[in-house]
Amino acid sequence: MHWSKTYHRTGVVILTCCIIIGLTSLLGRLAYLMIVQSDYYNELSEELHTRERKIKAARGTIYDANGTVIATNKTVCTISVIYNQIKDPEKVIEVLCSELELEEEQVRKKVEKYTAREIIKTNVEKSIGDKIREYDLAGVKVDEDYKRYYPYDSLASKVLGFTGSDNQGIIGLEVYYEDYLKGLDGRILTLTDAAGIEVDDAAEDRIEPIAGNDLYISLDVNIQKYAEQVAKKVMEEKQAKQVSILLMNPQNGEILAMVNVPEFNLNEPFVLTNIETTDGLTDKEKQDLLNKMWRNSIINDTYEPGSIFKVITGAAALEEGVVSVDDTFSCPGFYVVEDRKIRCAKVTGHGVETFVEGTMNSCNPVFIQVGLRLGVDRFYSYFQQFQLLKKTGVDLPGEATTIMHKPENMGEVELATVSFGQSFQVTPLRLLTTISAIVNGGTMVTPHFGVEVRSADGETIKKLDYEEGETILSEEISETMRQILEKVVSEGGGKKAYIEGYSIGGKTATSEKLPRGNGKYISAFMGFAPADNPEIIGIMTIDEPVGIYYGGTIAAPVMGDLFANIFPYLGIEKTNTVDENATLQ
Amino acid sequence: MAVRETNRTIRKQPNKKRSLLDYSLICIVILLSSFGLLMLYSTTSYVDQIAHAGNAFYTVQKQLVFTSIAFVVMLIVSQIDYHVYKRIAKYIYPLAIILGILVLFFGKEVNGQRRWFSLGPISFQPAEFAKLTLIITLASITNYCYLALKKYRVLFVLAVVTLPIFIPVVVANLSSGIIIFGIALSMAFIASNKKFIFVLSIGLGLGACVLAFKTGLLEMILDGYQMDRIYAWFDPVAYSSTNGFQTVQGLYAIGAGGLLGRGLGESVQKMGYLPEAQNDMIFSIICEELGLIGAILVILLFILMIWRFMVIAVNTKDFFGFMLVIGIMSHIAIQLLLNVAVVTNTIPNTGVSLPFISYGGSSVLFLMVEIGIVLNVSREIKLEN
Repeated sequence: MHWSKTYHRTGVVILTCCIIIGLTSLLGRLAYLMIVQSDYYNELSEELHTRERKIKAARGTIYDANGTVIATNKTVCTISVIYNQIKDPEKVIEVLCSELELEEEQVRKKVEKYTAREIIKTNVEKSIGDKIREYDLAGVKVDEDYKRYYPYDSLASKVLGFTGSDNQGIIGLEVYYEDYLKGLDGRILTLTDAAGIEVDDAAEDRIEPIAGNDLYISLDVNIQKYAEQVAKKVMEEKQAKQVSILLMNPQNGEILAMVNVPEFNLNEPFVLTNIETTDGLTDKEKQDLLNKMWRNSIINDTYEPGSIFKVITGAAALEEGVVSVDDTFSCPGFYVVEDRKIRCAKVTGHGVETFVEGTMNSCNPVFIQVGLRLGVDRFYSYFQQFQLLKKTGVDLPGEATTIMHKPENMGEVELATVSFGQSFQVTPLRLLTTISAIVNGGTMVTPHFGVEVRSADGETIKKLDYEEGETILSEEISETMRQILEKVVSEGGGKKAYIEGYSIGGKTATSEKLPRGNGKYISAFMGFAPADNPEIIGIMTIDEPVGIYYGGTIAAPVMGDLFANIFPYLGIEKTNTVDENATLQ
Repeated sequence: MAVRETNRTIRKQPNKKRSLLDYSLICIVILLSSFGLLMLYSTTSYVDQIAHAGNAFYTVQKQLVFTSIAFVVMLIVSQIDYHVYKRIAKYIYPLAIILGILVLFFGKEVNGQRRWFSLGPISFQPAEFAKLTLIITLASITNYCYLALKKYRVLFVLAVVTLPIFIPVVVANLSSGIIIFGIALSMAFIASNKKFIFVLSIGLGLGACVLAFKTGLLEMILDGYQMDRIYAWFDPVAYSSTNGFQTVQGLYAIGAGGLLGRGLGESVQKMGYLPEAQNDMIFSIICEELGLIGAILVILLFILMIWRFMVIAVNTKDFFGFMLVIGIMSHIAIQLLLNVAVVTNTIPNTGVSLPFISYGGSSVLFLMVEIGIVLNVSREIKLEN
């Protein structure tokens, strides 16, 4: 037998030490993983282990100027069955069939299917859900959920917008104020095993949802409703493609009504109106049609403004001093610019007329001359001063920008046509916003709907302030413009909008759609009242009317009628207009 | 008992009838095995309940039977004079080589690898047998070459003896091969007084590994799946759906443990998320349920066991017994180190079970046999003292 030697024993101690050092460093590594990296791995594994069920947050309500609810939530129920928990399948089938009015065969299939959770029906009215809950059947679950609901169906559809399946805004104010309205979804976290089966006795982690904030807007349901009726009537009478009406407060930019008929039903936004059948349409075609149906022409589309634009040309020329109200012009029925002969609406010509009369007659040669007096550079600088090339900043998505010649490409012909509102395009909203500033004393406004955001329990979260815009015109010229435009309605081309006892300013327009000569027109009227201190300004466009298409003939009277009905509601009083006429002269 | 020892007993300690077993080692083994069974139950009950018609005890029952048999075997072995192994070494050594080669061709194929012999309900892994055989063989050889131990030649002899056992095992199963290599290295390190050459060769070996990886040589040597595991080792989360899957799931478990753990039985990862949770990865479940504190206690228990081995080895006068203890000690220590290193992603993933705790019949049987041998060696100390 051999004896182990000292160096052997030393070796053992070294080996043992190595082992212990190795184990200790592994413990260090463990401590690092378990303490320092614990959160990191926990977060990753939490995702893996838990099944998340969302609890939808209630979306904020939208109120109009009177506090009327125009967009809200409806509680709906989802009825589902949990196979493992059902005790009396026959009773369950019987109750669900009768309450939900479903075929027995269909329900039986779902009830007898071996799944963790089988949904029987969604979007069930709350009253029915409550009734089913009262049966207290084991294994039947009634989960409440929210669905966006618009009490007025199609009212201001293109303004309000609607929400999608995840309760997210899709168009309109619902998109623009998404962050305020949407709220924060809650969650129910349940532990599951690798096969996805919920672990029975594990505690549920519940995170309560936070309801969205309420939005208060300046739109007035009563005015909107009436304007929609009026617009619809005209559209039918004139067999027009579309009629738009925009009413706002020219002093602060609050929009009272924005109508684009035909509107669509917000509670069924994916149902195409004006189309008999969707058979044979590809998904893309269908989507294009939907997008067209949802389009808000007042802000999303540009058009040639025509004679209404003379307000802007006039204001620029007066401000620049290149013309005065009493300057006289001569109209032979046309005006030659370079090699082009541009016609006046009145082929025989207006003869000799003052600037004011030229405006009342909507005489093209007058405004061509005024425009030429301004010249390209000065005209263009007024374009910028009047912010015509900028977006208005309205609180709706998808605002279109003005399409305008570049100054370097603008010759005299272009300048001449621009002077009376042709050869460029703006949105009705942009046009009306600039005119608001011209008639309100010269201050630019931001057109808007949103007034205030309040929390679900009524606390003010945010007052939506809109900075007072720049001064774009002198008070004096603004007053002159008001007076001239008042005369357009009281005596000139817009007299069909005249209402006995009220002082109304306005301007008509009839623009031929491109390509010229196709006989398609947009007839329009812009009006405001009271003429000396406007509280309301509006524009109406009739797209492709059949038959008579003059703005002064078909748009002006409708706007007049609309004004006549809403002035008392708005508290705009009758005034004596005669005195003011006297001051002008 | 050999006559010679009995005589010595009578001569040196006439008052004492018989020596006692090393009870502290037995205590540690019992503690570890019971703790292992408890954790095994905790780990497997959820999955068993689903897989075996509500029988949550399915796996742990089997392991309890294995462990009990193994424990009895340990007690029997502890009564067998370890000197007999000197004589049987020349029989079991060729047997281990033959079994190692046979399993490559006739073993039961699992996941494309043949590592097991299947005899009805009993599976037997020749690698486990090879480890024990190597320990006994190397102890015998060093004992035989005792007088030449200071020469380099002995190291050469040891290498030549180890290779035939090592090669078939490493072909079948890289991790068992590494363990065998580790055991041989440790035993040679102790037996030889040329300590420096080991430090040098370990340094060179590690350098060669890094070099081999950097130059792409390693890719040619290793199988594709082994290479993938190395890539997964660097960034397991990036490979979490493929080769890093098990590692990442293990890390989830460890990370979830924190300082105090989720509590006994509260593991989530055991619910089907962590593959081989009852086997190679059981340590991560221990971490998840008992936290860092639990992990430290388990490691401490192992350190105690290794400490016991050291005490026994140092006190053994007989060189053969000494070498046996060294071999067994390094076997258990290497397996422990590798297992914890794999679980913590300190080294690339390779299947090594945790001694006394992981599920497995042949593993626990051979471990108990080894403990029995150590107990018998320790017994002589008492006689000598």
